[in-house]
Amino acid sequence: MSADLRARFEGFRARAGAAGPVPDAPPAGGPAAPPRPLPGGVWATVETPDGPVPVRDDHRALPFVSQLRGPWPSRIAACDLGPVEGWRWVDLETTGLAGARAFLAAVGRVEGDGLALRQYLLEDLDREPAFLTAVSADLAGGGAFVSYNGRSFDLPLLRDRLHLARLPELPNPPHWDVLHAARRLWGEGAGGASLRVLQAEVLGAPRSGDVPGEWIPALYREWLEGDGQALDGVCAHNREDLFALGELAARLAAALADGVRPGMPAPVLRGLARAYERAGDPERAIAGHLARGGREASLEAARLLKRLGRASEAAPLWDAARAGPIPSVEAAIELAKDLEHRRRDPGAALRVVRETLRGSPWIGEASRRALEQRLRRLCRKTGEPWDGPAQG
Amino acid sequence: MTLEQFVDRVLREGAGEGELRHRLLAARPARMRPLPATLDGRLRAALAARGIPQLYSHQAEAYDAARAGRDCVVVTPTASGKTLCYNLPVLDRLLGDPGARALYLYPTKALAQDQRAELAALLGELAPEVPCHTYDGDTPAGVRTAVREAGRIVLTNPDMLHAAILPHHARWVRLFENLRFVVVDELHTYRGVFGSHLANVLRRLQRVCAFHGTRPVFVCASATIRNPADLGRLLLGRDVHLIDDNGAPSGERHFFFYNPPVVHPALGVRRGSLGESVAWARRLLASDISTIVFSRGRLQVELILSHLQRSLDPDRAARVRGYRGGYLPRERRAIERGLRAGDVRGVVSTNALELGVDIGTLEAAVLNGYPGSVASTWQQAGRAGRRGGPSLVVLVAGNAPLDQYVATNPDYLLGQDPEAGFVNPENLYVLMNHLKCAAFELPFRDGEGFGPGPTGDMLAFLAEERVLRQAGGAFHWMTDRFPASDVSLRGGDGNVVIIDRTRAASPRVIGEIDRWSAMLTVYEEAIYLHEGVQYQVEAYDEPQGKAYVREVQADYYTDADLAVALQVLDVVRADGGSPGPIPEAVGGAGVVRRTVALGLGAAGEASPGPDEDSAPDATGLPPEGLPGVRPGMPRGRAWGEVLVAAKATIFKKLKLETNENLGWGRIQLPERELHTTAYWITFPGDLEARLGRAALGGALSGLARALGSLAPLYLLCDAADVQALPQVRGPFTGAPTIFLWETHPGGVGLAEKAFDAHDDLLAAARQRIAGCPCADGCPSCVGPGGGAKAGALALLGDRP
Repeated sequence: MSADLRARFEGFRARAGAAGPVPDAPPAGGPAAPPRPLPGGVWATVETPDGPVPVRDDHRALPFVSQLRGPWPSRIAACDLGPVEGWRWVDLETTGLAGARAFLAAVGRVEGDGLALRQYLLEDLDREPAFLTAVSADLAGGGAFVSYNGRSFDLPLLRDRLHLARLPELPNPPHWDVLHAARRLWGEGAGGASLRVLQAEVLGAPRSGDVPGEWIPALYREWLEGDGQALDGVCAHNREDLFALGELAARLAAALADGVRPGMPAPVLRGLARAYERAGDPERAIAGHLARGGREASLEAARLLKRLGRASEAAPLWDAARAGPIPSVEAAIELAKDLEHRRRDPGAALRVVRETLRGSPWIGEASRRALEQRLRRLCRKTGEPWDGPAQG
Repeated sequence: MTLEQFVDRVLREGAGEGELRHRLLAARPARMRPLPATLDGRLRAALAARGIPQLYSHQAEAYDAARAGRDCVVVTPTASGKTLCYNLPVLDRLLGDPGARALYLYPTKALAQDQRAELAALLGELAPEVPCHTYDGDTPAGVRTAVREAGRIVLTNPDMLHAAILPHHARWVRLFENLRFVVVDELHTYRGVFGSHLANVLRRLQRVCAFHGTRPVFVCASATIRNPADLGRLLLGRDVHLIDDNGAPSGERHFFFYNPPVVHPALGVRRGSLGESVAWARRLLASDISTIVFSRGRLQVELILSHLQRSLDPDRAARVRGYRGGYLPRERRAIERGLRAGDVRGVVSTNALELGVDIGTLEAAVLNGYPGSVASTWQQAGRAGRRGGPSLVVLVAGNAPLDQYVATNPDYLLGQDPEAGFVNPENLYVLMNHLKCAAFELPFRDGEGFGPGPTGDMLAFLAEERVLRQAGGAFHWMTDRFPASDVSLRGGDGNVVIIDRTRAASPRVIGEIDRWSAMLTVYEEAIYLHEGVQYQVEAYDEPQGKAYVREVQADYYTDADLAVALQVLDVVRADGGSPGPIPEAVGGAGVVRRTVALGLGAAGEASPGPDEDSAPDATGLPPEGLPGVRPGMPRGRAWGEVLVAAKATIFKKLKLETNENLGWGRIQLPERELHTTAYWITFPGDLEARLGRAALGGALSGLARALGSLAPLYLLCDAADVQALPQVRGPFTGAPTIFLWETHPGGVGLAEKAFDAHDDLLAAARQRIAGCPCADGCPSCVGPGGGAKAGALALLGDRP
């Protein structure tokens, strides 16, 4: 390149946003020259029509693995996941977010009482067809997919890359994305719902020396550019993520199988109730809410009971919720509806609405309007004099 | 009163104290062709049902060309049935080929939404199974998947194509694998930096299409510009078939060129065009003639709107609305609906309405000031008389030199070809950014091109910067950045939203403006006008791009001063016997210049013709007043790269009616920097010593003002595209210098063009200043102030 052109580029660099953040990095210059040292551990090679792919195998015992064989995983995932041995557990490390590519894939399967995983490594950016072919063959050889946020991230990304490489599409089997159920069950108690946080707080196994996610693209780049150790931490992170996913999924199934027990902390009961509701078990969800107690739990339980057509069981819950120190307008309205329509006692309904309007000076504008509207209608229906504010 | 009666009365009774020149453009009959024999029967029936038994000749020609697979540009004046030019071949193909898809590009979201409504109505009768969708920032996430999978026609804008579609082309496989047509409407809007970006986005589009195995036909529509075929060729990177033989009829068009009366003969000051425009609009609206008023700045729009609403009776005032770019989509939609329905009779608009939003019939257009370009003038004029009826255009001249020139030479405007669309896709700043985006989308094979120039050096540079990685004969994207988010096609770095917190409980967004304008309009304490309502800026969160305002009642407006510092980074070409350190063609040897200049040779044709109404100064000018300046004085010219730093410094509070200065305040905003190109003229370095700093400063400022305002005429660009800046002793040149710098990042080639038009530019400045009837400087030449006129002429004194 001519020096002048170089100088002009330099002038534009800051503005063009092209600046690499590492000024003292060795220039990449020239084609990459594999073979470069692979990350730590014992790597083997899988042959594909597009060339060899380095792979590394690992295995770890999975506590509660039997829970995965029960009915709960399929109920949580709301689809039939098939036999557990067919599931393919998957987690990718990528060069960025939207539009990025995967460079490291962990694909796991349940074997005996543990999780066996194989990691696939993209040796250089031009080796993507071989890498994708190998990963895709492993995934396509099983049944359901299990992932943590893979439904919206890992799998679409993999499909895009396969398409761009003009390789056959992945099958579209049932997919259990553990993220959602985990977030419902533990998200509140734990400080968030990242896999790492849940692993620390739920599984009680905080990771030490883990690579921060945001470093990963840069570490891959450094490995490509010759830093042989740069990927060791990333590979470990990828394995830990997949093992943690396995354990979390098993714990999730175990928690739902165990059911509601007295003495559980309120956030757990709440999470459990929500998880049961989602997994299509309203009875256990109601039990969870009732075990938790309190105004909000009562309302939740009442809502479920009403949906099940058991308003007579819901009514006392509404009555309690509207009578508390901070009366629930929702409960009052539900109760009034129940009195008016089911129990055909508009007079009682009118009293409930009136008491709520009088007894709660601080209710919001929208609630007040809703109550006044109901009051007006009930007055008309019962022939009682209108005693609310002037109309209009 | 009918429009003809109004025109007759003005011509009979005169237009008050100002000068009025009238021109009449004759009506033109239609030229028709039968519907093409190959046209799908359903389409034929749908057209017949809409009362279209035959086509205008240009529509038929476009159909034939596109059907034959030729990329074409259709040049169509306003209201000549341009949408059919592309809809016909596209729908014909889509009806006959159930897999085929089309992509429509409009410069704005609003236009795409408008056109979709029209297309959907047609498709609803014709083929409900052909889904057409807009895809823009308003498209709900849930709908996006459906658009990607099923949209047979996708209507979007270049920004979405750039940042949301191309980078994720793997998700758009069905579109790209079946793309048969790309429609680019409003092609003329893709000028300057926006056009340079679009050309690169279209390169990326074609690259992605090629990857997915398609080569769509491009059908483009443009308003009248001088070089539509050249512009199309540069934007598409393909040869295009030009269709410019318009077969649509047009009604009789009256042109009034109105020059307001001189109110201060010594200073040469004429009555302000704003008030005069209000008077014309009031008179038209009071005669029940539907009218649109165009004004350049948002501030002026708001002022005209409030004056107009106050001067009309309440019923008529209620039917006048403002319309400008910063309004939110729903506000604009409501105004457009009102116009179509007829409950809005008057509109005061910035050039936002120049684009082809269909607003139905307006009879008259009042242009407050020359719109800055011939093309804009015709676009705005075309807003009147859309249904082929008679129309009236009133151009109210301002005090600016360009306005005065046009007002006194009406036939110059009417006889002038419109401006050329000018783009420079090889602008390094633009090109490099899109090369990165392209590499993100698909790896670059070694030796793969991107536009006409070589890419090797740039790819190697990006690899050195560790943005790309070379592996296996290709350059691969390898950072975790998303390059499209670093590039804004419209220049600048994101907009500023204006938030009204008059009601603390429910703050609302009332508008949006670009960062550069924000520096001048939403500093703290500024009065910000929106729909005629005054707001005061309470806080401007510059990093977050949020300005918080509160409604106020004030009898003043605010006006900011901008301090500009300019630093020369690199001289590309320089000549002329200037002393000082300008080297001959610094950096010339070995520099790879990927500059594509359009219409350079045409600059001479744009020279003002003989001045028929004012006495031309044929004798040349004796340099007088500045004894130190000799005829034959050496002057240098140069162009190159510069860094411009601008900072809003203070603002003035000016009383609304009288412009009386009520006070001032400081503006605390960070400086903004712009890396761009500039052209400059240097004068002898010893002038300062001989003349004194003050006299030289006045002369340079006066000449800079004249040059800056005349330059758009020669560069065929918008007045906002270049700015003039005098330096009594330029730090780089070491001599008195006048810069004309481009306001777009990286420049779009105007500096180089000015360099080539150097002689014409100076001659025109001299003619304008010498020919101005004022005594010693006025707003129409060098600006008011002692000594500037003679001084500026003296600086030009040795021109033959």
